[in-house]
Amino acid sequence: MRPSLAKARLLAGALLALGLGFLLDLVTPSGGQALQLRTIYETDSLYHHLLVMEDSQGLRYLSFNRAMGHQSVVKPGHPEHLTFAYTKSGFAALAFLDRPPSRALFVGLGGGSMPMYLRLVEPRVVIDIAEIDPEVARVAEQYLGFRPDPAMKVFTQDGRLFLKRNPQRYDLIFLDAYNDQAVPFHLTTREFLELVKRRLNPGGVVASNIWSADMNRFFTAQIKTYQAVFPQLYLLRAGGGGNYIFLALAEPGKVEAGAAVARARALTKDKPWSFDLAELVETEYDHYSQRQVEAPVLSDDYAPVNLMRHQKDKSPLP
Amino acid sequence: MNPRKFLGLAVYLIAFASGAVVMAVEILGSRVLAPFFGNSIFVWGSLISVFMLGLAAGYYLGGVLAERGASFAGLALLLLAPSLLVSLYPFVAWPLCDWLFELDLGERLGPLTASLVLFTLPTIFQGAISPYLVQLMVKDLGRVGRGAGNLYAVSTLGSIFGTLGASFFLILWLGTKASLLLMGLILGLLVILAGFCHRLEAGLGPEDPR
Repeated sequence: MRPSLAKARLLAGALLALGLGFLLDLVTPSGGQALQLRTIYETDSLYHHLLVMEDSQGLRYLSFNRAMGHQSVVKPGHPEHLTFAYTKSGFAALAFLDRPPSRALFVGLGGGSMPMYLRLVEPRVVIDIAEIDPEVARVAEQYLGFRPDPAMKVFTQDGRLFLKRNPQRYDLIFLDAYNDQAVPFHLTTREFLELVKRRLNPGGVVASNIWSADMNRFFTAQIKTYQAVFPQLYLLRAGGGGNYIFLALAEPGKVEAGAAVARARALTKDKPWSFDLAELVETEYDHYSQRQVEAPVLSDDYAPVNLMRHQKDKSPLP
Repeated sequence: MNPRKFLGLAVYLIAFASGAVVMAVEILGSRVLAPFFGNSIFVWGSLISVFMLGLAAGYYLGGVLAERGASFAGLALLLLAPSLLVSLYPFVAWPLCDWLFELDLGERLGPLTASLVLFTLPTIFQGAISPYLVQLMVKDLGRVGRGAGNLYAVSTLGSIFGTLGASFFLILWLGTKASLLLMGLILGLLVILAGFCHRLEAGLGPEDPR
């Protein structure tokens, strides 16, 4: 073989390998061993580069761009399957509510795993979902097994604007519009949380998913801001990992760990829960209302959230 | 320093600083609009196009003004208007956005209207500064292209500085309202500089014929 041809073959091989590398993303699930993912759909939306990938077990992964982690992992047709620890911990909110929820709001749809799960375990709850990106809603429905119904609707709107426009009150408000790379600052401020508080029914609970692989000033500032707005705050470190669930209530008082566990036990009894909520609450419960943290309260005027995420917080979390 | 050299430097400094302020206000504008209109692609599209509109109108009107003769006194007045307008933002922008929010004009028209109302007028004045500076600086018609090119380059470098400064630092150090006040203050300092140049030039007498 002439050397130039050999070189060309080598180059072609390299290009092919490169091409395959783009098609097959390698991820390491929590278990360890690398898993091969096949891209089954890819599109540009107004806000993201959406990618739907599938592994050999039929799990589907939604990403907002190649550099980011997965937004959502679902098993289409199996709403009982919750992959991420934070999605489970988020449902601890129900254990802090003194009644079955009748109306819930999700800010941020992602792959729709949380609303689908709530629909499964609480079939009568009316669910509103505010999702800014119409493509996310379409992709969730088409590829990720998300099934809206007359009592579970998606509103294509910025979460804050949705809350501002609609006087509807909720028993549960889930805030999950943040991801590991970008935080919309207007969904982190005191003014926003005050708006959320006004949209809670008496006794209602806010559950917010805050990513913090390492302690950074945004995380502590977010604690401080929640404390400034809500008399009750609980932090659940989801599965001991990098996500925290902030649970906040608008009324003074305290839900003791024992009471929350008992409540979790009662509300999951005879319902198709796929994990032990009572055990989760018992493990992750942490009361935070009185903890002192050194950080500014974020406001519409001062909320440098993306800059603060890159500032390490020297003081350890109390 | 040779007074003529000082005047030339002052012109470049004003070009740089006003270029910086335009873009810093644009970045800060996104923080003003977000609580009311989100920070969607529509908000950014509205904001950028309104700044372009203001600058286009300003370039035109500044050219018309310059044709009637440019002076440092005129420059000071041109800078005074945006200095006052930008300083007003911390006090009027939020109530105004709230009022526009209540009108519920939709996800596109809402932020576009707010951007138009808030940012067009000061940007027109700041756009007008560019051709005015060209007229002020370039006395030798044969060198007008060179002079204009230099000024555009300096003003655009200023814009880079303003964009990065506002988004990387000011939002962290000062927050939105104080940063806007600072921009008003910077423009105010430029007014004083232009006024000083006016007096300096008056004392110089007519330029030597070359």
